[in-house]
Amino acid sequence: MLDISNLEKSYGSVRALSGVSLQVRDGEIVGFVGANGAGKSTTMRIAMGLLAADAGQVRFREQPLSFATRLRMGYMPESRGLYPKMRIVDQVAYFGELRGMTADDARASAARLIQQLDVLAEPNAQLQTLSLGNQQRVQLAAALVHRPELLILDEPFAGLDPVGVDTMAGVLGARRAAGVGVLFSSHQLDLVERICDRIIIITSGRIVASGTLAELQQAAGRRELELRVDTADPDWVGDLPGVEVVGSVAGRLRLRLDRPEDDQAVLAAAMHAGRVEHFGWRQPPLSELYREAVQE
Amino acid sequence: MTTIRLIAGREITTRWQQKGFRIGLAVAVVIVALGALAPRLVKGLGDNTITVGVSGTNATALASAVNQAASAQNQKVNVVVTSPADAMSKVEKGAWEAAIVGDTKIVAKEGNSSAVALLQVSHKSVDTVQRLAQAGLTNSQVQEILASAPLPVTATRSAENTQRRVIASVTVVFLFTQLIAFCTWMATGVVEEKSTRVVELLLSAVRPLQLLTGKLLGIGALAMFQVALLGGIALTIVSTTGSLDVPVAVYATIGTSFLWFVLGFAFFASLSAALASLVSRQEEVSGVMSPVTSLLLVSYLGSLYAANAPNTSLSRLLSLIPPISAIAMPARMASGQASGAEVVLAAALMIGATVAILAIAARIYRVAILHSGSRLTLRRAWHGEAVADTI
Repeated sequence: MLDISNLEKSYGSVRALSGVSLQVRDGEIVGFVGANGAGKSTTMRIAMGLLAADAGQVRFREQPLSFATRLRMGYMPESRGLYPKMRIVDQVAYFGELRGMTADDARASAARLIQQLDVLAEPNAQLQTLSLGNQQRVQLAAALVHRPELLILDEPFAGLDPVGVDTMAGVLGARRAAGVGVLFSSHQLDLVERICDRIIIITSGRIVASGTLAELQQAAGRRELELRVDTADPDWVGDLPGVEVVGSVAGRLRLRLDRPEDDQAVLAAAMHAGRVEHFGWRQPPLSELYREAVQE
Repeated sequence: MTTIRLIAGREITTRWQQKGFRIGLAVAVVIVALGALAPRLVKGLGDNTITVGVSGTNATALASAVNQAASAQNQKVNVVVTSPADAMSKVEKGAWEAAIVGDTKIVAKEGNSSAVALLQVSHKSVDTVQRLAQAGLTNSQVQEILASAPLPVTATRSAENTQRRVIASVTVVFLFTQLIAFCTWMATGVVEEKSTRVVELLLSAVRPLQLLTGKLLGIGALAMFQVALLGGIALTIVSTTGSLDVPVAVYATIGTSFLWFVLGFAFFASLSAALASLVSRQEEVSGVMSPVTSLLLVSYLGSLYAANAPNTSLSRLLSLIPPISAIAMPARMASGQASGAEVVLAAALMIGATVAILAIAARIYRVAILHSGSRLTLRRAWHGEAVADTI
């Protein structure tokens, strides 16, 4: 488990992080979302030992972050890049060797990953001859080559086409299944919602929400009933006590209940008013939860 | 250590894999080989036998006198006994260098050539023998008179000095061009990692100082290989073809100038790496490198002066001041004018300066290497926070 606790970081007078704490457990994918400049990259760089925190701690598997523990982590920086004139297998293997693999092991692992990630190129091709999408796959291979126990990926999906997104998501899923913890940042909230086990929202250097999507939805504290009733009486709700109409979207009414257990009474009233085509507690999407969280 | 070896190894293999490097090296080899052959080519390749003719009543005696005189002078000669008319026409056509025509004159392509001198000496000795015989001396008396041993020759050092100065100047030019080339490599190599942004990934696995050390050692190894190769080729050609009559002592000096190159490289290349780490784009390299190129140029001009006037006090001073000494001292050593004490002092000063520059470069590099965007000032880099070295 990666355990980040109470990180503080300032750049001159600018406070970049205030008391940032988060955990990434083995075998889970954690999405890290926040606006540009919210502190995602700074947190990740501190977690990789690239920046020093003013205060706070990073621990991996109960050990304080050290040069040796860091070699067991895989990293994809936001500012991506590899050596343009280096051959791709050589390059991926090189990063494996830098993290302590033997030359043979690194080469075999590099060749295997390049195949698994469907990189379309000759193994001896120089990186600069590849398309951008293929270069990005090689970049991922460079983060995975040494079979890391934890992945820290800063916007791994940025710039990928839909097929690339699926490939990347598939690779992360496979790593999760193998027990690897993954922390990744992204602005693509639908994607985060789809593939993450937990989500952490950061704004202005503070963590403002964290948990599973269901937990976030619950924590939002504004569960709404959503229903569609084919009725001749548009005011049927008006008579119900403790029920407030929040709005109507695409023919569906959204109701907020003072007491959630009144939902059955609302259903009964709706059935009385007409044919109930849809009834259920609304699950707000992450994008909505995110906007609310960062506005608070 | 493994990490540094890996980084150095990558510097070497990726450059070697580039066609541009191999072509550049091949071109340099050709240029150096031609340069080393040039003096020999000017002298004329291979056969330098001259052909002269002798005619007239004493032709046979003259012929043997010419052969004798030529062998005394280490001159290969082909002597033809012929008629005066034939001798005249051969020289006129340019087939022969010179000839004695009849008993009266020498005709020659050039009035003051060695062929003419050879014929004059031969004629004089034959004439002398005849006169002595006419004066009544016996044959053995004549031999005794003529058997004076040639005087031993002590060459003044001026010819050797000239050659030594040529070698010193060539050493200066060579060291300067190699230092410029490899410092540029170092700078573009550092900026390549920043501009392609591979550096952040690298620093998630290695420490900045490991990266800097590995690059210095890798590019340094290539530099030393190239310098040794080119220098070796030049020396081999010069010594086997006799382009220059290089005194043996000079070879030793040239060997030590290799060590000076190592010091010079360490100094200038680490300075280049530190300055290059301040910028993020290749277009900014030449601007940020101008202190290094200026310093190299000053060292070059100072050393060229020291090579040609190795004994002046200015030259002595220049050959002691680091980093000028990295080029000026081997130049003065090649010219044979540097004392042992001066060499030791210059080496100690240069090693000290190199260690200091390495420490300064390491400090700047550790701060600047992850910085992106606009150029970082030296002051900010000096006082900044080291990155990627926090654990």
